[in-house]
Amino acid sequence: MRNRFDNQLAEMNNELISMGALCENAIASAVKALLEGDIKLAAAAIRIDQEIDRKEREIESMCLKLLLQQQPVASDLRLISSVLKMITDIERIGDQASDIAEIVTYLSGACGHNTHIDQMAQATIKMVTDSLDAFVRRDLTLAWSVIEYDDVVDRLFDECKSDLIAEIAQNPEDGERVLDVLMIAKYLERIGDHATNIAEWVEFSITGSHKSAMHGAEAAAR
Amino acid sequence: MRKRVFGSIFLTSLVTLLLTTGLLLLAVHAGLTNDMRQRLITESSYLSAADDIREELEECGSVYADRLTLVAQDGTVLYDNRTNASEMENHAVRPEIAAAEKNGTGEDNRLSETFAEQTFYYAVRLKNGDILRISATADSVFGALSNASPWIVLIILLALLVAAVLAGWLTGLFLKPIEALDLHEPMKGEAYDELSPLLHRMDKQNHKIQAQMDELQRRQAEFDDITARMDEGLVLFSGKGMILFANHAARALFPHDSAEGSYLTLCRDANYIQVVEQALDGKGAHGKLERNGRIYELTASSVEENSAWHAAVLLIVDITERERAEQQRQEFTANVSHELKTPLTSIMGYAEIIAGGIAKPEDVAPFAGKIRTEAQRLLALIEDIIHLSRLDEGGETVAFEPVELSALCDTVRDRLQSKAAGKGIALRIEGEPAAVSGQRRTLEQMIFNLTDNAINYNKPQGSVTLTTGTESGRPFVQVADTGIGIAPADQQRVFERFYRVDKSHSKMTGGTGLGLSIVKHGAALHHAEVELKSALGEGTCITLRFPKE
Repeated sequence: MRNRFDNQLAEMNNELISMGALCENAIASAVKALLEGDIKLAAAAIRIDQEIDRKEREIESMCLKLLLQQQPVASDLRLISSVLKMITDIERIGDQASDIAEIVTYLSGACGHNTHIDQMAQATIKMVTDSLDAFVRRDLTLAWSVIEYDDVVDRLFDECKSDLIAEIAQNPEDGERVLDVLMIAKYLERIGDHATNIAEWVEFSITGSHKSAMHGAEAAAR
Repeated sequence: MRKRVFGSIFLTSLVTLLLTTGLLLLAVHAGLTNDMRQRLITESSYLSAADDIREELEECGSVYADRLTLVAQDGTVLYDNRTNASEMENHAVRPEIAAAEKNGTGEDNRLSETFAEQTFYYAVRLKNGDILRISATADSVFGALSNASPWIVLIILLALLVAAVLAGWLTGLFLKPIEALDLHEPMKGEAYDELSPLLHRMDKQNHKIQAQMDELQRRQAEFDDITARMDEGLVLFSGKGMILFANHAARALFPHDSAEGSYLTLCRDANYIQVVEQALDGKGAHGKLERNGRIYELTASSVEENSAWHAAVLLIVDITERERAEQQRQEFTANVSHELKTPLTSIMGYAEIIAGGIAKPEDVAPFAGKIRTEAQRLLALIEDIIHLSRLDEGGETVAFEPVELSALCDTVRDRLQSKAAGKGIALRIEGEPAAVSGQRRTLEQMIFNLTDNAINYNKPQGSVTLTTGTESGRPFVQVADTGIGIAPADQQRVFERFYRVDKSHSKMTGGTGLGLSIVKHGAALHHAEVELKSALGEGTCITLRFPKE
């Protein structure tokens, strides 16, 4: 009985990792499309997003089945509930990647040389990869570093925003393109937030305490 | 075990006890009954001797301990010393009476209704035909048994206790050597004889297992040793995609400390996942993986396991160099065709003008001169390519001979003196003679190419210095100029074929773009090191260091 349960858990674990791999693939394609203006890659990112959605439903039903049939407790329960939460974040990341790809398809050519967008893209990819690595290796330190790294992405977003404001002041007729780039920057920033969420759920699955719960407790104490 | 020993001891004692008690009771009882019979016979013979037995009995029958009954011939009881005779029924059918009537004596033994007592009857026919019966009552076998039963129960309980104690002690005795057994050294320690065949066998099997283990360990160590030295990454997966083994190179490539777990924990690259999944499906697969700026080729093959599950072997080979070589080869081909085509296009152009009769007669000679120059360039290029391809194949078959470097430098100076003078560049030779073993033609070509470059990429009124000598036993030749220098980014690439720092001015400086490449290959042929030091605007210094003689 336990053996079967362990197999199911391992399968769920694997499915989540492969969903993460798809998601990494989607962002990498979207970002490459963005930086190189490659429409083919943008289409690939949108296609991968559909696969991610399918995977999400698969893992979701797998988790619910496990909860119903095995009634897990302790760390197993934590793992399954974290996975249930994580797939939502991974799916959202896939959506944002697909959104970026969609903008790229009608953004004529590359978005111009905006170094902060480049840096943001690299930083968010790093965050997503690290958050998934933290899950795969059950690495608490790595999860914490991802949570901290979100500040870097947020700062880059602010810098990106001021760049774009300067740009629009220079060429007011270029407004539409600049707004599109701003959207992309915002999407990247959101991807960073979702990666942070994943890292927080990794932390919960290992330690049993979630950041939001701790904050709630602190607030209550005050 | 303890229970079984206890059971058998207890059962044995119980059976023994019951049998002994039964037999003893029967024997004792038989003796007693016999005694009683004898007594009654004696008594009856004594009584029957009396003249009037009835009178005698009525007179003193009540003092007898045994019961006396006098029965008439027809069975009517005449007298009984225990009960009133008139109330007793007719006794003619009683076996002892009937037997006495017939044979003179008769006896019978009857159990009471409760089986607890038995009565022995002895009857004798008197002279007057009446029958005298004497009877005595004693405890029956069953009675005796029921009397003894509390004792029997007590003894059984005692037997139980003894059996339990004995069972404990015996099993302890049996098990002690087994419990104290050292499984690795079964022959050591004390054991009873019955155990020794088992121990012998165990010892034998231990040795066998140890030998097999040693063999397995040796093979494992061999395998580990081989795979650890492999530059290629090797990963083995079980049928369910779990990592069974990953060698040192694979671990270094995927720095995840999780040695076990699914293939997904190793890497999440899309190509990698596809290749492994295909192999697990039973199909071999190839793919490329880019990681840490290097390119790896993934080759996964499936290994059939139990005909249903497929295990997989993944081999990761670093093909960065190969890819680069391939790229360089493609570039070389493109470059060669371009370099060959350029002079030919000029030649064709001039030739067509002359052939078409468009050229003025006075222009024909300069055009022919230009055609010659271009043809010379083409020839030089082809010669260089031939030279280079010979060097590529491991050098010409020309034997090595002692070559004096400073003498070579003199020859090169003589060849280039006029060219240098034409550009106002001073050409100097310094240092002391140094001899190396090598191919004279190749070495001369190398020094020529270096000096030619030093002149071509020099500033006006600059200088080129050729230095030869020996440094810590190694002969060297150095070509230093005061030229334009090479930028750090280009320093690695100048030795590539057709690589030019300034792509737009290649025509002006001339040359084929293969000079330094020939130097590099020639140096490799002579096992020499090429050292390039350069600073933009200050000059370049290239040193060839030959190995010790």
